[in-house]
Amino acid sequence: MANDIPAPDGKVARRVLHFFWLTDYSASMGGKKIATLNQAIRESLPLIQKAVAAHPQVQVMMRAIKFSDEATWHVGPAPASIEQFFWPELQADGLTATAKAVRLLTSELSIEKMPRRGLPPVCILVSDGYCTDAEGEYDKAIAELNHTPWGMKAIRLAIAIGDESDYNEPELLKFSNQEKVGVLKAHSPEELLNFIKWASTEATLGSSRSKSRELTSETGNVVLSPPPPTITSSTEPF
Amino acid sequence: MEETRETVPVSIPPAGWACGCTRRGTSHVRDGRPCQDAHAIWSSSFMGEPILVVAVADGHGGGKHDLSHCGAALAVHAAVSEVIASLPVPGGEGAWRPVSGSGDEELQNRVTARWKGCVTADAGQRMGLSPGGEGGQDLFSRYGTTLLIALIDGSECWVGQIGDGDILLVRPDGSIEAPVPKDETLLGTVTYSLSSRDSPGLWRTARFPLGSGGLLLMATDGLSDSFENPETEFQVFARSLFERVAGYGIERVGSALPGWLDAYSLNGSGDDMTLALVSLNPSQRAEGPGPQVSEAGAAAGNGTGPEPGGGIGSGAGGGLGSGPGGEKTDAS
Repeated sequence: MANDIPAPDGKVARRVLHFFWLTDYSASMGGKKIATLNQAIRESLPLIQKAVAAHPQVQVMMRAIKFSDEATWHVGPAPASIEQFFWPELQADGLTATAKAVRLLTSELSIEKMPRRGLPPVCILVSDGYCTDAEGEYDKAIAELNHTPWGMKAIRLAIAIGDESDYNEPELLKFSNQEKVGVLKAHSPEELLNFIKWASTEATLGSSRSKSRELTSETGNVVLSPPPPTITSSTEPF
Repeated sequence: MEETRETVPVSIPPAGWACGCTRRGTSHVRDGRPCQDAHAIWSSSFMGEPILVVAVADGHGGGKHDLSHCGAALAVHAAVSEVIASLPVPGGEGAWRPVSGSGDEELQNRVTARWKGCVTADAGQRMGLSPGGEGGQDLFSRYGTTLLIALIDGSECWVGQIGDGDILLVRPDGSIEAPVPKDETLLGTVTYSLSSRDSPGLWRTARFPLGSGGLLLMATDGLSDSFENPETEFQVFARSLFERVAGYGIERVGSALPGWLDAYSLNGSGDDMTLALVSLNPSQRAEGPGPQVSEAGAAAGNGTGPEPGGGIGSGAGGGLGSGPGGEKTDAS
């Protein structure tokens, strides 16, 4: 009897989880680094889909920012659903405009562009070098990110590639807001593959699981646990 | 504890009708979590004046709030109980003004205090914790919940809200009023709570005349989160729901609610859902310049009034006629 009443109007949708890659494609990323990065992100996509399958109320929408001399959209600015996301091959060239990439990210995390009642966005930065933007620009960009409501609430992870002497760990640490995780250091292609897969799936799950919580002074971001120890193998370092 | 609850439409002459529905969310079913929403509807009359109380609560869930399903049930119980307790005793003097007072005497603060009392008692029974003993703020947090309250008489509606959730009024001309504005300070999945240390300052209240009537919606956030845009599309939903009530009647709409809410949870947020509806007739009284509910008489003290019999989550059925005395009548 009641079933013949049409349901009320209003577009129903799953909850959107915005996912951002920020990937360095400077010249130093050439060779194995960029090849592994391309491979790892492609291989992580089905893993993210599998992980989020346990949370069918969540729709992952993905975008990617690439940076070398400048920061531009690799995929975007319109987000693509994880099911339709395609990773175009990155070719290494140029410098490392990390600050510009962070600023481009920040511009997308404004209250005007993100739903106020949404899930925490996921932002993963992958880089192998020092920021080459003007001195102080990186810190300013991070400060702007930290002052953006969704920038603060986002799950932010940083993956460093190569030898510790090649990249600026404190710089990358400022991007990450996961104290227990810190900077994920990929010394080898195998580690990069593992970290990209781990970071993308765990951050997505962390955001998907987030549930209404009492607002207290201690209420912070979603907190991820550190990744399991990497089992070393005979893989050559970068 | 029941996982889902429907309150059959209750007549509140001459003010209108009310009904409600709480459904366990699809993600809760999948994960084996209990339904953490609750609602209660209680109606009666006093001195010929209809009285309707609607309460909707959403327990926070998660490890830190492991008893929030109980906290939500206790919250709607506390809201109804506090209104009943505020009714003058039979033979007593004075009129009724449940929302009068200031500071601790304000209705929302009396409800908060009653809820904390209920939590303390429940914790004592459940875990052997003594009132005022161990636990403290952490204990209240385990029961943490939001709460929306509407108190309606023949001419006016008072609403109070702590935490997330939606209260909307669709007028007959299709215009939509949000008596309690959205809290712009809340972002993401955090919310204010009855368990918050500073909860008295976190309530937002409003009162408005029934005027031309309309449809009052009170919902937990699981419902509005299921729409593409939780604000604009939810308003489309609200306006359309008003048309359904006008076209099919609240009884048929009320019986369709479980299926609708299940579909929204399945295709939307996956969360528990509660929707309470009050179909308000136009006020038969000329609108005065000011509030009428809280103008006369003395508010009853906290915790001394009679309890509604089994009204929690079961709507008006258990609460009717179990109030303080002969002045009230079963309005159903």
